[in-house]
Amino acid sequence: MNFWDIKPADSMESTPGSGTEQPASIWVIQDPYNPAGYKPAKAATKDWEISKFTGKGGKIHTILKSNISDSYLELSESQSFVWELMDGSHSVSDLVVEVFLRFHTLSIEGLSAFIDQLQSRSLLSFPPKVDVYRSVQTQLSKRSQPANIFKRLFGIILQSEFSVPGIDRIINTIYKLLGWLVFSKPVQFLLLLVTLVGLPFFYLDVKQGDLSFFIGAHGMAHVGLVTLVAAQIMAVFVHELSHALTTKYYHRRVRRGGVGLYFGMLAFFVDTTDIWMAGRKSRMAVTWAGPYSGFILGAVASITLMIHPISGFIFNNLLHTTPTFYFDVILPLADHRSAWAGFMYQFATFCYGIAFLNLNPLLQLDGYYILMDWLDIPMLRERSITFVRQDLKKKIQKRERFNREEGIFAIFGLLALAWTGLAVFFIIELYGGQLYYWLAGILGNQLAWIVLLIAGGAIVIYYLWRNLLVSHTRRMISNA
Amino acid sequence: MSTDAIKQIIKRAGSDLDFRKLLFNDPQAALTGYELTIEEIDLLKALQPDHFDSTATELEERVSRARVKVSFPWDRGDTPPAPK
Repeated sequence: MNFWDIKPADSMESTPGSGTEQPASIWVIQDPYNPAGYKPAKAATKDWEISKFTGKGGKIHTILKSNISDSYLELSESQSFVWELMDGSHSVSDLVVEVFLRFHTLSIEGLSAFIDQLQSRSLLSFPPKVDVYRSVQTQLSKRSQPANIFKRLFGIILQSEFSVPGIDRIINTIYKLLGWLVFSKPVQFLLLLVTLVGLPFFYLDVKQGDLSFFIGAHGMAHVGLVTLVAAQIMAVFVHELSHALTTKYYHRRVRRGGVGLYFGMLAFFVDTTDIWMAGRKSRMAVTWAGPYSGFILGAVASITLMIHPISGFIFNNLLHTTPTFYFDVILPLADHRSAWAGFMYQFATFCYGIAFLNLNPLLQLDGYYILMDWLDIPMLRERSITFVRQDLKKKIQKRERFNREEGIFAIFGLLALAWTGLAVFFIIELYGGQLYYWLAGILGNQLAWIVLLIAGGAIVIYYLWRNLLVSHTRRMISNA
Repeated sequence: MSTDAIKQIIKRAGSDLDFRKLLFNDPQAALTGYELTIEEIDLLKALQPDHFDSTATELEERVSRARVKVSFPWDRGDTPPAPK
C-alpha cells in the first residue's frame, strides 16, 4: 500500500482523550483523509542545488544535489518538470494533472515514489522521514560483543579511511597558490609535450637494462626496499592530488580525502562525487587527471634518467666546479647505479604502472568512470550487470533487437563479469597456492587438500544459503 | 485539451482508487457522464499506468583509491636477489 491508497479507515485516526491515541502518521499531520492534497515544497534554497547540462546526442541532464544528505539524483524530464512545480502551491493531485497534460501519462504510484525519494533525501520542506533501519543498525553496532570487536577489526583492515578535516579548504589553498598554474594553457602544452617525449625515453631506460626495479641503488636491496615504498607513496599521492586539484579547477567541492587501509594495504583516496554537478567533459577531465599525472611524472623521471649524465657534464663545465665536487657529487649522480637513479627508475615505473592500471575500465577505477562519462550512461556497471542477470537471456531467447544502451550493457556486463571471474581465479591461484604449501608443511599433502576443499565448500555453501535466504525474504515481503 | 473535465477525471483518479482501476480497465464506463471531445476520450483511453519514472537515478560515489602495494619478486616464490 502506498499513500495514495490510504483511506480514512486506514489512517491512524484517534479520538482525543479516548485513551486510544496512536502515534501520528506523517500523512496525518497535514491532511488525515486526503494525502493527494499534500502540497510538496522544495527545501530551503541553501539545502539543494540543481545543475542542467547537455550530454551526448543533445540529451539534457538534470542533476539535483541535496546539501543535507549529500546525495545526487539524476532527474528525468518528467521528474525535473515536477520538481519545478513543487513550490508549495500545487497539491499532489495538481501535479498528477500537470504531468498528464504535459506528458499524457498517468502514474500515481510513480509520482508518490518520487516524492518519497525527495523527502528521504531532505529535498522537501516537509519533515524528513526517519530512517528506522539505519537507526536500528547504529544501535546494534554499538553493542560491544566480542564478535563485533573482531568484525570491526576485520572491517578496519578490509577498508577504513581517515579523512583529513577541512580537505576542501586545503585543496583550495593549494590550487590558489600553485595549482592554477598547471591548468594554464602554456603549462598544459608543455606537459603534453613532456608526456609524448617521455614514453619513448622510458622505453630506452628499460632497454638499457642496467637499472633494477626491485634492487635500486648500487645493488643494495635494503635501499631498494625503502625507495620502492617511497616511490609508490609519491606516485599515488600525486595521482589523488591531481583528481582533487582538477575538481577545484571546475569549482566543485572535494568531499573527502585522506589515507586509509584497503584490503590491508595503505591507500590514498579522494572523493570527487561533487563533479556530477559539472558537465560530462569536466567529469572526464577530473578522472583523466589521475592517470595523466602518472604519465607526466613518469615522463619527467624517464627524461631525467636519460639526460642526467649529460647534465652532470654541463654542470661541471659551466659552473667550473672543483674536481673534488665533480668526483664526489656529480659523478655518482651520473652513475646509473646511484641511489638516485635507482629511485628515479622505480618512480617512473610506478607512475606508468599506476596510470595504465587505472585505465582498465572493467574495474571500478578511473578507466571505468571515463568510459561511463564518455558513453553518458551513469551507473554503467550496476545497470550492465543487472541487465546481464535479468534481461539478457530473455532477449536472446525471444530474438529481440538490442537498442544502443542494451548493447552496451550486454558487452560491458559480460566483460566485467568475466574480468571479476578471472580476478577471483588468479587470487585463488596465488593465495590458494601459498596457503596450500603452508598447510602441507604442517599437515602433509593429502590432509592439506582435504582441509582446503572443506573450507572452500563451506564458503560456497554459506553464500548460496545466504542468497537463498535473501531471495526468500524478498519474496515474502513482496507477497505481503 | 486542458478542460476542467480532464482535470476532474485525473484528480479523481489520483484520490479514488476504485475510479482509477475503472479508468484503466473500462475507460468507457469511467468516462460516462463527463463532457469530453473525441480526442480527449481517445487520449484517456490510451492511458497506461506507471509511465512516470518512479525514482530518480541515485548517482554513484566517485571515489578514487590508489593503493601502495609493496610487491617483490620473492612474493611469487622466487628467491630474493643476492646483493652485489
